[in-house]
This record gives sequence, C-alpha cells and structure tokens, in this order.
Amino acid sequence: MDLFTLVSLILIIAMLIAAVVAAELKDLLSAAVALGVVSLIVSILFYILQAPDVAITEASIGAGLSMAVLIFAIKHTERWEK
Amino acid sequence: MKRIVAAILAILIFIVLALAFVKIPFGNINLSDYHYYNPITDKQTSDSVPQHYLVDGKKDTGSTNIVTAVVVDYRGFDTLGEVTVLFLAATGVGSIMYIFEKEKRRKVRRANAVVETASQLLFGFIVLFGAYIFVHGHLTPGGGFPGGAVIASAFLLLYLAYPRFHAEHKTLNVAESLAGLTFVIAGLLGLLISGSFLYNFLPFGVPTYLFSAGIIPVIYVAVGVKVGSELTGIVDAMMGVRE
Amino acid sequence: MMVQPVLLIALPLFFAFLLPLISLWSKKVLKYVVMGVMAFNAILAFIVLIEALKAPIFDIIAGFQPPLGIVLMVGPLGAFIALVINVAAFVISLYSATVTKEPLLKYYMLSLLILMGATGMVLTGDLFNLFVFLEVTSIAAYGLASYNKDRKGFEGALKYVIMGSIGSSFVLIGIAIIYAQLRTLNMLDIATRLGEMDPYTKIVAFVSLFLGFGVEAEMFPLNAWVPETYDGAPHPVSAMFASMSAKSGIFALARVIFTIFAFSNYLWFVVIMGILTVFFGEIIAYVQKNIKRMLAYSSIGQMGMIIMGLGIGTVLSVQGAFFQMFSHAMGKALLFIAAGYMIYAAGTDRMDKMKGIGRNPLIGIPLLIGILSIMGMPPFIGFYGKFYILMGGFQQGYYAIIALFLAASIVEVAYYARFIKIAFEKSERKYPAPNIWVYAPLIIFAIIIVLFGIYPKPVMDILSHVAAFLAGGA
Repeated sequence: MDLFTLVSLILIIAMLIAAVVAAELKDLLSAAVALGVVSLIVSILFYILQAPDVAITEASIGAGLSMAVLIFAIKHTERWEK
Repeated sequence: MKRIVAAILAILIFIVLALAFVKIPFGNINLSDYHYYNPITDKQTSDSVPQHYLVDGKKDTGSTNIVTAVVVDYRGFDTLGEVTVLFLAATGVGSIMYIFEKEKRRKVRRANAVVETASQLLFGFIVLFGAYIFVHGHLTPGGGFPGGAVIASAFLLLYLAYPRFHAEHKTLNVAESLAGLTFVIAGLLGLLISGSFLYNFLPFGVPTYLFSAGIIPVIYVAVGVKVGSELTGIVDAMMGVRE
Repeated sequence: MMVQPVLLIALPLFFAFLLPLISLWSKKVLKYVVMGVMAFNAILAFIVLIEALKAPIFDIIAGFQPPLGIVLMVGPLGAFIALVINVAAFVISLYSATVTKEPLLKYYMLSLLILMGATGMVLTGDLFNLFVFLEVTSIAAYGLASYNKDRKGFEGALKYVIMGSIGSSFVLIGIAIIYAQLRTLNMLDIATRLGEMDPYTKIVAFVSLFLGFGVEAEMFPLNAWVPETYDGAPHPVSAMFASMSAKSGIFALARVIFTIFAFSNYLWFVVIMGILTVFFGEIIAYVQKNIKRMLAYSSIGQMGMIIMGLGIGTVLSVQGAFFQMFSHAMGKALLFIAAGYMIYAAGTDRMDKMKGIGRNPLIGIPLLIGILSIMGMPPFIGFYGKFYILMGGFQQGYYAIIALFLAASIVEVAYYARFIKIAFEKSERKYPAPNIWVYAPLIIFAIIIVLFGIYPKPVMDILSHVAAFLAGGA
C-alpha cells in the first residue's frame, strides 16, 4: 500500500465519520460544523487528486459559506433538534 | 424501525452503485482506446474526447489552463447554465427572505477589537486574492467560481466581525446583472460574428500571457464578479439585513 | 435568415439578467416586458419549428464540433414541445399580472428562468447540458413554489426540494457512470457506442437517469411532492408546473428512453410505472375536496398516461403520448387558471363551497371546454392523445393494461363530472366578475383546445416524425 492510498483511506474514513456524526447529532450547530469538516476533507481529497481549482471552490463554499449560511439559519430558528 | 429501514436502503443503494463504479477504470488508462463519433458529419475519429482536450486544447482555445479551456470554451454553455443556477439560488433566497424585511434587528454584541482590526486588515488581501484567481483563470488553476467564492468569503468575514455591517443591496443587484449581461452579450456577439453562440471571437494572442485566450478572461471576470456578488447577496439575505 | 434555436434560450436569460436594471427605472413595466419577451419567444419557437420540420437542426455552440462541444439537437418533436411550452408560458404570463405579492421582480425573474430551463431541456442534445437545464428548471421551481411564503407554500416547496435534489443527484450519478465508461456526453455519440458499455453499468445508468427525470415527470413512487407543491404555489405557478416543468421532464425521459438507450426489451417496466402512476393519481384525485389538490392528482394521472404511451413504444402510442403532452399542457394550465379565479372568488379552496361559480359564461365556457378536453371527449384535443395511446396498446396486445387504463379514465370522468355539477348548479351566491387578466388567458387556451380539436391535422403532421424519433434520431 503506497502513501497515496493510505492517506486517501484515512481521509475517507474521517469524512465518513464526520458525515455520520453530522447526521446523528441533536445539536444542529455542531452538526453544521461537522458538515463543514466533511467539506474540508473533500476539498483536501480534491487537492490530492490533482484538482486544485475544485479544491479552492469546495474549501471556500463548502467549508466557509455554506456552513455560515447554515449557522445563520440556525440562529433564526432553533438550535436543538426535537 | 424507520432508521433501520433507511440505513438498509442506503447501504443497498451504495452497493448497487459501488458495483457499477468498480467496473470503471481509474487512474492511468490508455486514453486512445476510446474514439468518438460525430453525429453531424457522421464520422468516427481516432482519438477520445479527453485526449483531444489535452492535446489540442491550447491550440483550439488559446488558454494555458486546460480545465478553463473546457469549462469556459468547449463547454461554455454549461457554465452559463451553472451561473444561472447560482443566480436562481440567490433570487430564490431573496424572494423567500423578503418576509423578514420589517423585522426589527435584535441587539447584537460587538466583536472584540482584535477581530475587527484583523478582519479590516485581511479584507483587502482576500479580495485581491480572489480577483487574482479569476483574472488569471486561463493561466493558473482557478477561475470565476473559486475567485467569486473567495471574494464572498471576504465579505463573510466582515459580516462576522461587524454585526451591523451590510452590503448595499442595490449595488450587488446591479453588479450581478451587469456581469450576467456581459456573459450573454459575449455569447450573442459570437453568434453575430461567426454564427455560433459563445464563439471565441477575440484574437487568442500568445498563450501564457495575461491578455490571451480571447473571450475567456472576459467571461471569467464576469463570472467572478457575478459569483462574488451573488454569494454575498445570499449571506446578506440570510443575515436578515435589508435595504 | 435562419433563426438559431439557441436564441430561444439566450433571450429569456438576457432579459432575466436585465430585469433588475429595468426595475431601477420603473417597476410597473416589468410585467409588460415579461409578456413581450415570452410572446416574442413563442414566435421564435414557431419559426424554429418550421425550420426543424424541413430537417433536424444541429446548433453548434462555441464553434466546436460535437462531441467536443455542446450541440443543440432540435428535431420536429423537440421544436413542437418547445413551442407548446413557450405558448403556455406566454399565456400564463398574462395571468401572472394578477399576482400582487412582493417581491414581484424576483417572481418575474424566476418565471423567465423556468421558461429558459424548460426550453433548454427540450432543445439540448448533450447529456450534461440536459442536467444543467434540469437544475435551472427545478431551482426556479423551488423558488416559485415557496413564493406565497405561507405554511402551505413552504411545506410544498420543502418536499419538492428534497425529492428534486435526490432526483438531480441520481441524474448526475447516471451521467458520471456514462461519461466514465464512454468518455463522451453527446447523446447521439452515446447512443452509437452504447454497446461498448458493461451491461450491468448500463442498467444502473439507465435506472439512475430514469428515476432522476421521473421526479420531474411526476412518476409514481417519486411524486409525493406534487399535491403539496401544486397546492401551496401561487395559482399561475401551478399552471406553469403542469405545462412547463412537467412537460420538459417527460420529454427528457423520452430522450433517455428512445434517443440514448433505445431500449426495446425493458419497456414493459416503463408501462408498469405508467399505469401505476395513472392509478395512483386518478384514484386519489377522486376523494379530494380541495380543487387544486384534485387537479394536481389528476395531473399525476395524465402524466402517467404519457409515460404509458412512451412505454408501449409503438409509433401510434408515442404519437399519442406527444399529443397528450400538448393537450395536457393546454388543458391543465386552463384548469389551474380557472381554479385560481374560483379560489379567489369563492374565498376558499373547497369544491363544495363553489356552487354556481361556472354560471358566468366568461369562466364557465372555457372551464367546460378544459374539463371535457382533459376527460378526453372527441371534439377537443384531449381525445386524440388517449385514443392513440389506446390504439398503440391494442397493436402491442397489452389488453389488461388497456382495461386498467379505461377504468382509470372512468374514475377521471366521474370526479370531473362531479365538479361540473357543483360548478354549474343554480345558486343564490354572487361571485365577483373576473378581470381581463383572468378571462383572456382562459379564452386563449380554450380557443387552442377547440381549434386543434376540430382540425388536428397540423399537429398530426408534426407527430408523423415520431417514427424517426423512435429510431434514435433527433
């Protein structure tokens, strides 16, 4: 197993964990942050798959803006899922 | 019970799709195994579409960055569509959040001095970086979408540091309209000059120079401005601050 | 000079971007600008149709030969459906003048863009471009569905967003599989080289695309969003959904089935989905008390008939399916506009509170024409669609399916007849008179329905190109 496969595997497993955490958490604010982590890992994966422009987009939109939009939405509504 | 069914369903879909994706070659494959068929001239060609992009991309479009060549020139119509999708998203959010217009702003705490000063300092650099990304879209990795997103994240920083900050809505609207019009007019000019929409009618110049690749930089600047102002508009609408 | 089909897409887009600038100058002219653009677009679509009848148009975008670049592939059928969508959009834009809720600017932008997306889905000859226009159509539809900003609107829009985005993801997965295997996105290129694909991958790709477009085409297990969305949306928007986004979705489905995959041995699957959709729609429509929900379920039933017609797969039945698209686009838009007026006039959406509302001839006559056409009565356009689908079914020997189809049609007749009885009953109640923006579109649709019902030859001439479409042409 070369380094590339190893790093990708670690990242993918971390991404899956973050995604499951985002789905399971009752605290929506933390869930939004977990989603941001998913996006961040996806953007790293894009980068090591040699797609730097997609990586920039994913990092700024996925991890930055969409998380902010989610957090604003939570601010307008409720933090805890019933 | 519901959760178990959902989990089983998700795993099933995953297995079905994974079995399909396993069959797909990944990584270094011999691209020349593929050939394509031109339905208009009814001819088979010897090289594959990705191979053509890689080999003849620079000659066809004048762009050094092949990704940009594909995104803005070969498949520029899709990019126009995607820009429209973002425009629609911003319009839709604006339409939905309109209801909160008359709602009074809640009292907000000021962020501390360090955050305020640092964001003031950083704002200019982030905008500059975003502008760099989309101006050099045809030369270096990046382009209108990443550049616009970076600019929008600079505005996001201001929103976070100054709770009372809000961008002028009219200016944003005008900026995104003008940028969109630039894109469509560039397309229509191509139609007028050579008979095909979005045709690259400007001279290509010397590749690797800033002024090269014909209309690609023009379109990418328009896309960058548009994406930046739209994403800022979405953030602004979500903050509930109105004109 | 030849009109290029790309103008049909570029023009609404141009004006959608221009509207914010116009609104800075004057907000009153917006609706007239939109009406003018849509009327002009309908004229362009007519010219394109005339051109396409001579020979299929291939409009190369950006000057790159396909499959390197994108090409618009406009055959007679595509141009016909584009014309239907554009005419419906223009007439509905007249009724849109009754919308007064702010922000009107956004409403008009979204309605121009839903037109652009629906037209693009019909005209394009590139698989990924089809996905892009699907996104444009559905995101514009999400925005319009929630435009009323009340509880019903948000609920419907949220359901639509969830179902629609799952559908779009499936479409994207299907496209990714196809591109990864064949390295091309042009529909005809894919169709020629489909044999190189692994059989299992081919099925997965087909099912993904079929399910994805099925959401927009209101196919049976994927149409849970339909009643809520139609009910919660503003009245002109319900008409738009029935006549524009659903039509483009079903045309994309036809493209996937016939142009790309050219399946002939799996078509029974499509027929079964179609008949299930018909039954689901018609039977639930029978028990509805709310008029817009009834029309929405009836719309599901009609779309099921179209899917069935496509699935039977003979020339006759596919002709019937295309005729049904035309008649449903006109008839259901008319009924939704009429329903909008009736809900406004009666002050409620319950059908039993609408006694005698059709006694005003300006409303009653178009309403009657629309209902009879949707039921499939002979002198109106709705008849031909159902008739040809049935004939196609006989040809293929699907007798059980035909019996079920007729049973569903009887249910349809029953609930519409019940509504006619309520609407034309004698009643003391006075209803406010409709204004010109209400009865003008109703009368235009009614005229189209009667005209082509009495003289269907032009439409049949266009539909005679179905054989070429089935053989995998444009």
